[in-house]
Amino acid sequence: MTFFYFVSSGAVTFAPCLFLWRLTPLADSPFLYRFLTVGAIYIITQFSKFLLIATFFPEYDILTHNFVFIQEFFKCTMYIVELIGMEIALLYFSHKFDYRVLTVGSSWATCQAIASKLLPLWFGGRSYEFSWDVIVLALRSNVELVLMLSTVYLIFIIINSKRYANQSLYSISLLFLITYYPLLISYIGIIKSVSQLMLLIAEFLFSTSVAAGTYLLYSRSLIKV
Amino acid sequence: MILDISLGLESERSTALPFVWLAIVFLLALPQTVSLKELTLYRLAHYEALGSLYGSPTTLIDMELATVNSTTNLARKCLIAPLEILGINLFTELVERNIGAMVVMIPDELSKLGIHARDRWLELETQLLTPDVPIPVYFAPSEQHQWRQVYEGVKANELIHASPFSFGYLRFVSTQYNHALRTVSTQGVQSPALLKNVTLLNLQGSLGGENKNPTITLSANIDTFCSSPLQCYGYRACGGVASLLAIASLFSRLYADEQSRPDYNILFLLTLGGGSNLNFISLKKAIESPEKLKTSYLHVHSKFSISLDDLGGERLYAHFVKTPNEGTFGASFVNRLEANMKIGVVSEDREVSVVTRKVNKLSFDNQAWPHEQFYLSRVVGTTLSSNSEADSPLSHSVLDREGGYSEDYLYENTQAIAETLAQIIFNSKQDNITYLKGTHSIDRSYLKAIHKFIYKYPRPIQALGSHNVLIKTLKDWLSAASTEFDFAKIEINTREDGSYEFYDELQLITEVSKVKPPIFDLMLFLVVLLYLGVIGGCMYWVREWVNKRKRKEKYN
Repeated sequence: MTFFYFVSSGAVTFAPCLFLWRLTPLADSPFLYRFLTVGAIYIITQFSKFLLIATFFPEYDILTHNFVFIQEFFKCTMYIVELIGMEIALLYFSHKFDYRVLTVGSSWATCQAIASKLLPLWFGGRSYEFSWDVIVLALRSNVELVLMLSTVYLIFIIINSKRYANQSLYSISLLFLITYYPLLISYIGIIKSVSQLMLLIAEFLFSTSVAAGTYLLYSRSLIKV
Repeated sequence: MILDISLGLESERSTALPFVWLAIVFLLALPQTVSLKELTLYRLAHYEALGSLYGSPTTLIDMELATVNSTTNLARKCLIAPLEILGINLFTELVERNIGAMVVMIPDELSKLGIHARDRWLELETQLLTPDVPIPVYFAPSEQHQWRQVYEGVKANELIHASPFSFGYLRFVSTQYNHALRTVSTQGVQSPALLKNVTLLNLQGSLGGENKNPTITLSANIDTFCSSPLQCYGYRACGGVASLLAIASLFSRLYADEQSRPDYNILFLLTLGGGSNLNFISLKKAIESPEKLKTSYLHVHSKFSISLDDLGGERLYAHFVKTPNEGTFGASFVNRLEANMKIGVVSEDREVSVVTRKVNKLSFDNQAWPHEQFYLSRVVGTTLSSNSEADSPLSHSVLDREGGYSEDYLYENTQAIAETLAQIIFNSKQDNITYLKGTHSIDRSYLKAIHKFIYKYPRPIQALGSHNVLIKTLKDWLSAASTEFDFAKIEINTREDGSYEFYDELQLITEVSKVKPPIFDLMLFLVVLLYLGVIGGCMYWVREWVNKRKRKEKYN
């Protein structure tokens, strides 16, 4: 890997987020303040998540490559904290402006990309050796972006359950799927030792189906988001 | 257009600008690349002797690896090749094809090397040890099996012969890698520094020590010399040292008893830097100016000197300056030695051949055998060796390793030399008396153990010194086996001895990385652009669609 790959994979990771702010209706609104607000909420959420993990699972070892069901289950469950964080962000912006789902979703995904992808890309870029992993990582962040937007819309439905009373059950079940699908992914990845590329494809299929489901919900409700 | 927007260069909306600056600062601070596979390489011997520079001054390279089968342009590439295919013809051809450097992979088992491959390599190695080697040469140690993997990897990736515009080539480019090799200095220097503290040493122990008695000197050289200094294990080369120590240990027992003490002194001399590659400096100093040593007076009475070289052959060659006349000490020594060698159980038709070579007293660097140094100081002597000619390529080679060498011969020869010595110092008139029998003979396991122990250490002069474990142990052994022991460090007098300077950085850390060819970079970049263009286009379309819907709602 060289500087060139770092630029390429960085572009793949961050350009879609940038496009979201620039080429969607978000472009017509000032985004920096909103992005920083969501970023602050993201940071607080992550801290509380780590505190919870450290409190309840002090022996949790990130580096083990074994599949321990309890650990993985707990890790996935901790995603609920993030869902709560997204909900807080949505509530913070409620009734202030349009497109808050898009704002919160894109900002949250960008924060996550910066927090979880920038360093691996950085070290991947430093490495002299070429590896597909870095490019797979960059593509994964795009998949996560799609998933994140769907997640935020689903939370939006639950918050406004009065308006979407008939949809909240669907959205809760979809959120449940989103919360626990990493369990399946890590099971396949560790036990069956499937390659990173196949895992990416699996994640892509899952995300697109969740996004399609969410879009169905969205198109049924004729109310403007 | 899309790129402009994505980089935040659009004039009216510059809120992304701080991020772009941040990104640029990060990119500029991108540190040096690191790689995954770190291996060891040894450099070709790099030193200056008598005004000529040997080895390559280039240490650090950053090149793509290639094998000899490569059909592509080899210019400025680093060739990786197993030792068994290399020869002087191939090397010349490769240099003509403009290769940048060469990595020689030393095989695991040298005994399995065919005789032709061995001779081919020895010829090339002799060439590599001459002053004008055009490219840097490195040696990959046999212990590191990753080198074999690297070689196989390089070879597998060179198999493609497809045209650059075909689909096969496209698939090849996306799935295969080139291998890049980068050497890193262990001390962070660009060019190797001169080694300042190269020590030459003489270890001298004696038995007897009566002033009036004549002295027989036994000498052997410790250090070895070959193309890759840190891999000079010198299995044959250390036979002389091992048998000298075994003889010293045996005779110390004979001398311990007052009644069996003969009227001879024996002087044991181990030299560090007394080989032909260093022009016998240590040996010369020990003979010519022994003032520093306690045992120096023994040289005055020296009657005969025996220098022990490689002793592992079926035949032994006794090298003399002049053919010894009948009745002289030398002639009787050779006759008795031959008779004693026939007693050995390994083979009966073993013999000692006398080889003579005249000494040119005026020539400075034209001496081949240690006994010639003794001769120049008027001490008659011989060199016992299993080589008929001086500087046989195998004794100065990285191939001088275990295997293809009989331990039995070393033992038998040592026993025969010890027996001959015993017959001479006990003044035997009869030829067929065997003095050294039973417990009073060379201890076979002791000899083997010493030999193995010395062989464990690579012994280039650059890496040895008085604090080296091996040298310390040899000191202990020799002092335990002698009544008087002393050692002296030797300083090279550049005027008389010629100048010898050694360079550091014999061992390098090497990074081997899988890299993609430049065409792949371009392809990847185009694919990324296409991908981002599609995503950006979709989003733009969504925006337009939403705006249209908004406008419709307004009209409604």
